Amino acid sequence: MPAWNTKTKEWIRQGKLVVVGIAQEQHADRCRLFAQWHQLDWPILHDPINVMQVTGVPIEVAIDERGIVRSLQPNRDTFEQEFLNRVFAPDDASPPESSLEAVQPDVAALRRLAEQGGSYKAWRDLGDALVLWAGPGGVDEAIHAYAQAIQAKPDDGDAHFCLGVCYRTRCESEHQRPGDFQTAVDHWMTARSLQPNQYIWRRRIEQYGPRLTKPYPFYDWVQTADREIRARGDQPVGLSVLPTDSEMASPARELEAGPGEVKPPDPEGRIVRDTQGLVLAEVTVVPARVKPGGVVRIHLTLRPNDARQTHWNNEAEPLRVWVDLPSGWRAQPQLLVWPPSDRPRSSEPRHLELEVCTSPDASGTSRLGAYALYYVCEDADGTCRFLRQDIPITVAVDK
Amino acid sequence: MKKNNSGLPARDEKTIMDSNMKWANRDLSVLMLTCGYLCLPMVPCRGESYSPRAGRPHPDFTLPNIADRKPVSLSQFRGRKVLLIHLASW
Repeated sequence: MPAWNTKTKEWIRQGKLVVVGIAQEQHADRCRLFAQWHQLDWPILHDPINVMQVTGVPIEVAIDERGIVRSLQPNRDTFEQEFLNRVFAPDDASPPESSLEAVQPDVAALRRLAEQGGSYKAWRDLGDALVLWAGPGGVDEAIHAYAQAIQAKPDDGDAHFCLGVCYRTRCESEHQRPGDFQTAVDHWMTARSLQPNQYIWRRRIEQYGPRLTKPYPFYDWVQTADREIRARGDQPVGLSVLPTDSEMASPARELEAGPGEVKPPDPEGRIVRDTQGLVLAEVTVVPARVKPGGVVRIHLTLRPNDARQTHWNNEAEPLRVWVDLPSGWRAQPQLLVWPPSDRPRSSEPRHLELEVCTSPDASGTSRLGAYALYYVCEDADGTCRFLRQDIPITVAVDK
Repeated sequence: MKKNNSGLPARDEKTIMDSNMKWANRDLSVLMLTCGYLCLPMVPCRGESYSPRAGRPHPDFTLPNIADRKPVSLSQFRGRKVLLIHLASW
């Protein structure tokens, strides 16, 4: 992109060329930050659900005045001569059509169509329109629309992928519900199993998956971009959702060795259990199923329970999570520790990640006995307690 | 010329209009029902990969601009040469 950006600036200024980008990503604001960083000053369109059916990126397409494709992956060095300066004669010698005003779809009409006809395509089109045009407020209805599409056509890989995008979007919003992230991963996995060669779908799973299956770190550029934009004297585009550890992790060839022997913090289970749900825990396993010996990335989120009006006590020992493993399994790390906070109390969700390598002999469903130890306080009376929460983690291994 | 655009299915609509079937003035729901059963080779339909070919019309599309969420279509650039770049920041 940066190479094309440099090359095309003068042609755009001269009015000889229009450059349009289409970004195949979940988050529009990350694309905006990327564009700001590289000073891409042409329009970039957002296609989080891959309606364009692209199977790989980047793809460059040169299109003439009549909308006819003239070359794919054009050569930058000969682009001006072979495309910009060339006159393409139409077969019928007709003049180019006048430009058409871009109009977003009529969601109400699509909704009526889906509800009246009920075909899988009508529901999927409604879901697409809601995702692209209705904003975060449309995500619940989009989930319903794609679910209807899948009910009508269970092997609709597109609908499964889009449904996964919706669940991930809701998971990152204030309207998140328990299980949203795992449900997203499950639908992405189903989509991938239906169309194993769909690169964009595969990448979306790998974005959150283990380092062994990553082709590259996805968003490690974010910090560099932020720093370099500030150095230019500009304010970087703010991200509504910061990349998680998995989204920035570098690929690895094997599970890294740990820091030596680590000991479980509560081996005999003597710490009092959090039976009142003062802290809520959620687990997501990516991918949801692996072959024997495969690696999964486990995402753990712990958050003080709003309904119980609780908060973290940061003046005592930090939050720790331990994972007990079946024989022959390995974890990195096996003990997770939340870094100390400057504030004496806080109530943020705490997202921790680890990778688990299954045994070569593993098969079926295995439950790992993880637990968290934390200091949590109730806002009402200020009572603080040191508690343990057992967190079962289920990993499915398919032979 | 005002386009009867329905976002993604616009690709199908464009094909229909190219065939001089004069669908553009008909009710949107009739058009949409028809689109549901049309999937011509030059239009990337769901279930088919994106495969533009030299010498063939590029399918139209309408997607939101990341800057302001306003709709942008390929067809709004008729009369101009376009370099379309499919990209990802990763």
